[in-house]
This record gives sequence, C-alpha cells and structure tokens, in this order.
Amino acid sequence: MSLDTDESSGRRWLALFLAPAALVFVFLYLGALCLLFVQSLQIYNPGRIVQISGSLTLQNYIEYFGRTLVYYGFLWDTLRIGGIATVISVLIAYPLAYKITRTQRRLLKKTLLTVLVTSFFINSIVKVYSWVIMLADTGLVNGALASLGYDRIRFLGTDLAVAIGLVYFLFPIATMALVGPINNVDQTLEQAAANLGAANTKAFFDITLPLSMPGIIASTLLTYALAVSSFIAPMFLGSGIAPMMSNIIYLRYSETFNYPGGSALAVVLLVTSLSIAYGLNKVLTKRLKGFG
Amino acid sequence: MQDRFLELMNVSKKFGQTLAVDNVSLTMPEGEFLTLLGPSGCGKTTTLRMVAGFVTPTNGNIFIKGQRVNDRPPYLRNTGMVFQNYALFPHMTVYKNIAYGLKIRSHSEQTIKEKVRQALDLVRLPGIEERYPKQLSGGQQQRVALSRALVIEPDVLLLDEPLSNLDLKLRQQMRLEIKAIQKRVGITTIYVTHDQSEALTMSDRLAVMNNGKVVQVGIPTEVYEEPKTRFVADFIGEANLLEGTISRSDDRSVEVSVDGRVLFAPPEEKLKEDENVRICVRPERIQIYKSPNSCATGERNALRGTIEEVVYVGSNVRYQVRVGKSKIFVDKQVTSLSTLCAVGDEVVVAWSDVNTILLPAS
Repeated sequence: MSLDTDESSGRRWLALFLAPAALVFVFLYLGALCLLFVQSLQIYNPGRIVQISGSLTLQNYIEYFGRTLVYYGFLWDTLRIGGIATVISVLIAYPLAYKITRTQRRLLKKTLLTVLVTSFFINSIVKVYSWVIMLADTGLVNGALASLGYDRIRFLGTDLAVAIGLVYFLFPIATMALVGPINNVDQTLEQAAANLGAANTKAFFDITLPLSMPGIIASTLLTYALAVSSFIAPMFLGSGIAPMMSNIIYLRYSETFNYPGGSALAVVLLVTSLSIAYGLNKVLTKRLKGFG
Repeated sequence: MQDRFLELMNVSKKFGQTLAVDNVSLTMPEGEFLTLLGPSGCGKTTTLRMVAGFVTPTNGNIFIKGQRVNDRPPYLRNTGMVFQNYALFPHMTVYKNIAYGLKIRSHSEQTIKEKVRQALDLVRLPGIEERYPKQLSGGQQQRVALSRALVIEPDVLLLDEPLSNLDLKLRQQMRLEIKAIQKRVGITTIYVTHDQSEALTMSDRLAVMNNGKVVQVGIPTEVYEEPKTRFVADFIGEANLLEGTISRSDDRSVEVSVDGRVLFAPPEEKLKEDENVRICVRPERIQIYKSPNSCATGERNALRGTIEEVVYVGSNVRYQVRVGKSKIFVDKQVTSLSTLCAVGDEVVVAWSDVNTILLPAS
C-alpha cells in the first residue's frame, strides 16, 4: 500500500473505498427506484406483466388518488399505525438502551444485549406466528380471559394487533439505534449536575435527555421507515382486514399483476413517508440548535 | 475557623478484589488547600470522588463540618467539583451553566444574574454569558468550570486534575490564578494531581499517596526536604539514591559507607551502626568541581567521577556523573557557556551534610 500522504492520492484512496458502495447504491438502489417510477407511469394492460413503452401517463395515480378516497384511508391507516408503533417502540427502547449503557453490572448488560441481538436471528414469520398464537380467537390471551370469566376479545384483524406486532418487531431495532448515542453522552455531565444539586431525575431530564436527542431522532426515523413499509405484521395479524399500504401493493403485483398500479402506490407511499421523515427531522433538529 | 472542617476517618474503598483506597485518614481545617498527589492508580481520584459522593466508601467515615456524609447523595453534599474534562453542559450557554446550581437553590432571577456576573468577574471572564462551551478555549472552559463550582458557595471545592488538559504555559499561569482565587474566597479545597510541581506551588499541605495509602502528609518544604520513604523522595522532585551501611552514628553526624567511601549525614538518634540505609541527594544540591581543592568548607561529601552525559536545557544543565558503580545526576544553572563541563571530564561532585537525606533501606 502506498504511503503517500498528499491530498490527491488520499482522495484516490477515498474514491476507491467508496466505489463498491457507490456501485451498489446507483445500480441496485437508485436504478431500481427509477424503474419503479417509470413503471408507475405506464398503462396497465391486464395480462401483460412488464411492459415499458415511451408513452407515459398519470392514469394510475388518478385512478387511486383522483377518483376515490379509499386509498387515502389506507395511506392514513398506514402512517397512523406506523406512527403509533414507532412512538411506543421508542418509548420502550429508550429506558432499555439507557439501562444497557449505564448499568455497572456486566452480566446484566451482556444479557440484555444478547437477548436483543438474538431477536434479530429469529425469522419474522416465526415471530409473527407466535403473536397469532397469542392473539387468536382461541389463543393464549383469550384463553386466559375466558378462564377468568371475561368475554373473548377479537384481536386479529384489528389495528391493535398490527401495532403490537410492529412494536415487537421494531423495539429491538430502536434500542440498538439508541445505545450508541446514549453511550456518547458523557456520564461526568450527569455527575456535574448532581454535584450542583440536581437529583437524579432532574439531572436526567436537564442533561442526558436533551443531549441524546439526536439519537432519539435517528432512532425514530429509522423505526418509522421500517414501520410504514412493514408487510408481515399487517398481513398476518391484520388478516387482510386491517391492511397497510405494503399489503395492497403486494396484492396489485401478485394477484392482479397490475405492476403499474402497484408501482404508483409504492411511489406515493415512498414520497409521503419521506416527506414526513424530512419534516420530522426539520422540526426536531430545530429544537437542538446550539448543541454539539 | 474550624479545625476539623473536613475529615476522613479510616476511609477505604474496594472495587471487587482491589483495594483502591486503603485506610486513609485526613483532617483539614477550614480554608486549607490540600493536594492529593500520587501516580495514576494510587487512589487519589477515588478519594476525591468519595468526598463528592460519587463513590461510597467500603469502610470508614467522611465528615463535612462535623456531619457524617457517607449516606448523603452527591446532590445534597454541597461540594463544588471541577472535573478533569470540565464537564460543562454543551447544550447550555455559559450563563445557563453557571446559573444551573443557583436555579436549583431557588434564587430569584435577579440574584442569579448578579451572582453569575460576579462569578465570571472572579475568573476574569466578564461578558461571555451567551457563548456556548465549545466556542471557548481550553483555559476559558476551565475558568467557567471553576466559577460554576464556586458560584453555589460550596463547603468544599474539589478539583480533579483540572490543569492536565492545558498546555504548559497556560498550566503555570492557571496554577497561580486558581491559588489566588482560592485564597480570596477562602474555601477549603482538595486538589488532585500527579504533577509534583503543581502540588508544591499551590498547596498549603500535600498528601502523597501510593497504592491506596497516604504515605506522607506535610507542608511542601517538609515533604521535599524530608521525604520519609524512597517513594516520596523519588516522586517529589528528583533523587540520587545510593545504598549503604551505617559505619558510625553519634550526636554530630551519621557516617554511611557506600561502595567503600564514607558519606556524611546529619545526626539521627534512632539509627544504629551496621544498619542498611538508603541515601538520597537532590541533583540541584550537589556542586560540581574540576578539582577536589575547590570544594567549599563543609562539603564533606566529595566523590570523584567522570562526566558521562551533558543535557543542556537552556537555563539549566544536567550532568550524569559516573562514580564507581553508581550514576549521580547533578543539576546546575547555566551562568555562562564557557563554564560547562564536557563529556569525559574528570570531576568531583560534592555536597554538605544537611543535603544528605537518610531513608530506610527497603
């Protein structure tokens, strides 16, 4: 390896290191995204799957979002359930991540981290079916309710079931995204606050919470992106009655082979959730002005 | 004035199997500046943190103004601490940083404003209220941290190696400044450092720590002139150490035989003949002559040697002189370049009895 330290050679090395990521990003990600967008502007010919022609039309967008309000409902449900699941996930994740970073007990720290990481290794289908077993009409929860003399509750097919499933999927991810940023908040700052007379909770809310805000924003955005694009939880726990956008997109592609229609819905979902993420980032970051 | 303003009684701290602080007892009168001095890992910071309340002693008691504070959480101890990395709140302005402790003490907005202004005047940084810590230089951050600790009018000021992140010039200047502020405020202060010159210049008294124990407590001159152990002699200042056996001990002097030569030390009653001792001589207390005849009267300790190394550092020069089996370091002021000795010169190193310090052999 060259030991040149001049700037141009440094840049060459940087370019070389970035090349693989750039290639993957441009061809496999941006390329696919462009194809999707072009696809959404094609005319739907029942019976023909992929067909790209030069004539572009907004027909698909008009069909779903110009003539009826139904799809606005689906979109709203997706963002709403995704939003609720995100908030709950981050609310569970923060104290957990805080405990992991701040505990003096090595064993506890290791155990918590191991459990979290292990959860990533469990197949999503297995995870979601475990909740189906829990929440089914004759499942564990209803069995317990019945034996206590309460009425059975219908969970499957409700927003609640979907939200529970999403939280279960997402809070480990939200936690992992928070561990680093909380760890970066210097503990001597809390001690300095305590030294000046702040009791533990006051020190936490004055110092640690605001300083870990960038991490909270990052974790929230990541979780939200995964929540609104989730497919498995609404499919199995929503049972098709409480569908989210991904499920409808899936139906367009797989059952009616309406690729242009599916693409149009995908583009709308992407643009909407990106705008929300952007707006959220703007609003939250504004409150952080002046920090490191 | 209270003679027992701050008191540590047989305080120990165990982390797992390691004894970080071993049976430390210290008593400080009100207004004293005490330095805990020692190498890293000697337990000085742990001791300080026990006073602040961040570490709970395994054994022993800590008293502030006569009250036992062992079970008091840090936020009820009313100590003002300056952390090594300053620990200024990065998301708050200088004003908010300094006002933080005052707000908790529910002062009125008017009082807080006035006190913050005074606190910044005290550290000679008026008018920087609206800046953020990262916009300040290291020295300025240091002063803000100091004024934040002092503004709450704590019972004790605790400083944890506050100067270690500053460059040498600034460090020397801040030493004097911190000392002057401490004197003006009259606050009882514990200062932790591993820098012996910091300890010597700033302290009223210093406590030298090693392996969790306080090995010697005293005023700076006492600790430097009369170290009790080899460790203290070596850690504070520099020391030429020679091993020998006492050949004579009477009420006029102690004679020690080192490598067949006799060296003289001031009389010390408890030392007996044939006892093994260690001799310590400070490099700057040794004279160096080109011939034995030039020795001043009273410089009874004279050894012939050869200069092996000359290290010139501007104002001073350090000679390494080979005397028999041992090396002796001599520090001299450079008054003119022409009087410097050169490598290979045959010389005589000499010092008077009072500059010979006797230490236990082990």
